[in-house]
Amino acid sequence: MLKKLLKHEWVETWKIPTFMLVALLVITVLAGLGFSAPIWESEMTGLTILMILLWLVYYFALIAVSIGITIYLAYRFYKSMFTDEGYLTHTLPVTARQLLVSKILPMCAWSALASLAIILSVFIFGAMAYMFLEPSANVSLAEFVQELQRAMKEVFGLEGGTNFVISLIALMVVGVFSGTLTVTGSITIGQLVGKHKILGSIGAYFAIMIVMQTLSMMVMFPSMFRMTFTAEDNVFVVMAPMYYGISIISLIIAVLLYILSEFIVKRKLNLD
Amino acid sequence: MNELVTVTNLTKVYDKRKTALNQMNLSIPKGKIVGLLGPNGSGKTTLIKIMNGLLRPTEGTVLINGSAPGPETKARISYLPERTYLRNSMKVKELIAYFADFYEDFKTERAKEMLESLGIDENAKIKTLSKGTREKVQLILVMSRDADLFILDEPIAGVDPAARDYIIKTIITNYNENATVLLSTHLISDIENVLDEVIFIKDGNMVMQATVEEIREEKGKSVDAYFREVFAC
Amino acid sequence: MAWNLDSDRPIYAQILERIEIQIVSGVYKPGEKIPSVRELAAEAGVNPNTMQRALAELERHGLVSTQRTSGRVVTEDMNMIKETRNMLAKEQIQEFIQRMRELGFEKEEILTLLKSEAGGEKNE
Repeated sequence: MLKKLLKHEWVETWKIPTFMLVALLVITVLAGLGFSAPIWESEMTGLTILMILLWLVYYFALIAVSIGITIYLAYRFYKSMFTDEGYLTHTLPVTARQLLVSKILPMCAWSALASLAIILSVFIFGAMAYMFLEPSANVSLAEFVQELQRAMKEVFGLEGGTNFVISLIALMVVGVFSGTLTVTGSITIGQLVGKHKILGSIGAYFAIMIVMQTLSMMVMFPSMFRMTFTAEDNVFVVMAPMYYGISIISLIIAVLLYILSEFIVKRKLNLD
Repeated sequence: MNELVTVTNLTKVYDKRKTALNQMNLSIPKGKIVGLLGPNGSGKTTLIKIMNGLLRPTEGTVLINGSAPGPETKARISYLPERTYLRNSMKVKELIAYFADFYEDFKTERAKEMLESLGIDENAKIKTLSKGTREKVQLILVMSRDADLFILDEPIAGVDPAARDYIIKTIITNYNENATVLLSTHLISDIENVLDEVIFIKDGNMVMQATVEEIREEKGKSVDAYFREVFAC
Repeated sequence: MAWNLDSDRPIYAQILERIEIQIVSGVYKPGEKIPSVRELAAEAGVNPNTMQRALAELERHGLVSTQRTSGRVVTEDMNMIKETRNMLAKEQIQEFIQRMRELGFEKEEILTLLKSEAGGEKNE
């Protein structure tokens, strides 16, 4: 049943996020091409304004993709679970767990994909800027890869470098899950409120954020202290434990939110 | 065991204030068409939503074939709510595929026959259909299953007489001897000839359960007339 | 679509009567197959269980019988059909007399009225 749910969830939701990512890619390339225009030398203010507008559009496209996909999927989650559509969703012969997993997993996947797309987009934008503004440099792809490898080696060569990279990856991976579960969790918790369920969801979201921020601060504090008051000046050594700490806290909160969501859908569901 | 649904001391209080069901007890037999009758606000929809697992009772239990509402009971219940749950972006045939995928007892052939007889294009998107047609699509989806229990919440409220006749005919022809149909309505006269039994509910309580023939024989009047007498409306 | 049924009498008795009339009046001929329970119920707009009960009752009287291959068929026993016809007629007459008595007519008056009405019809 989970497979079927995932299949239908995918069919139902893939179009808009895919469109957004493709649109971001197109805008990225357009904005990058903007660097080829002779705006630095020319007197044409019209062209300059046009380019600035283009980059602004790019900037907003980045923001739109980073929150737009989440908002769209959050809306689909809310609509299919807790509105009239819920009358069908909750009378399918499936468990609360299957339902939640079938909706949360694609959201996580899209969230990860969106993050990767944003990184890729910024990278393409930067590369194009470099290419057009420093044509003399004439960097080849091979040289670029070499440079990248050299930089990586440097990072991993330093004390705590590897550990730092792992902590950073952990933070990002956990972030995908905790970000998604914060959204689905607050929507679900809002259902416990009698009449103003959406207001309840918004309240729950801020409550979760405050808890997460407070706990993160507590983890960050030792690292900050160490950086300020001890002679330790290796950023990697200082930051890695902090990232691990925040990852663990986010993970615990994500798991708790999931358990709470499943409990609510299973035992406390009250569709209007 | 001849009981399909057993409701025991069922209570539902909304927002700690409004009592919709108050210690309700009743049972629904197998293989019968049962009318759940009561004025608006008497608790019909609340009871139905609890049976379908869309609401959780404050107290008491509902057992369907011995199980509390859950995936097993949902696989055997075909439910027509009083509102439309169809996704606007879907086509009629996509909905048929969706139902066929999740409900093992769904008969695609039957659904297509019914669509054809009502002249509904299966390639049409839900959002292009009128409200009445959407309701018909939903009824077709629900009646195309070979479920043990059909729960139809106000299926004939607000439809034109032709559609009402079609609905009644659909219920009669699609229903098999082992299935139970529970049908809530406040428009009794339209439907009473189709019912085996009626359950009257009022203020969240069951006030009477009897067969239609019993009422007609003993009271010498239609269920509709008797209902009006009981509820004085 | 639905049969016109009185709202204050048991449905079962009414559909029983209705099918009896259809048989004696030749809508369903002797030896002919009658529609299935489901078809009849849908046609009448009544509960299939009620229709089933009415047909079982007809079968008990012997007016229809179940054949393994062709479902329910009307009896070919003409005597039985005639008897049923007479019985239905008697019921009608009894009901008529009952009503007339309620209107205050005596037996003789009823007969005279009936004769003149029936005769009048003939003359037309």
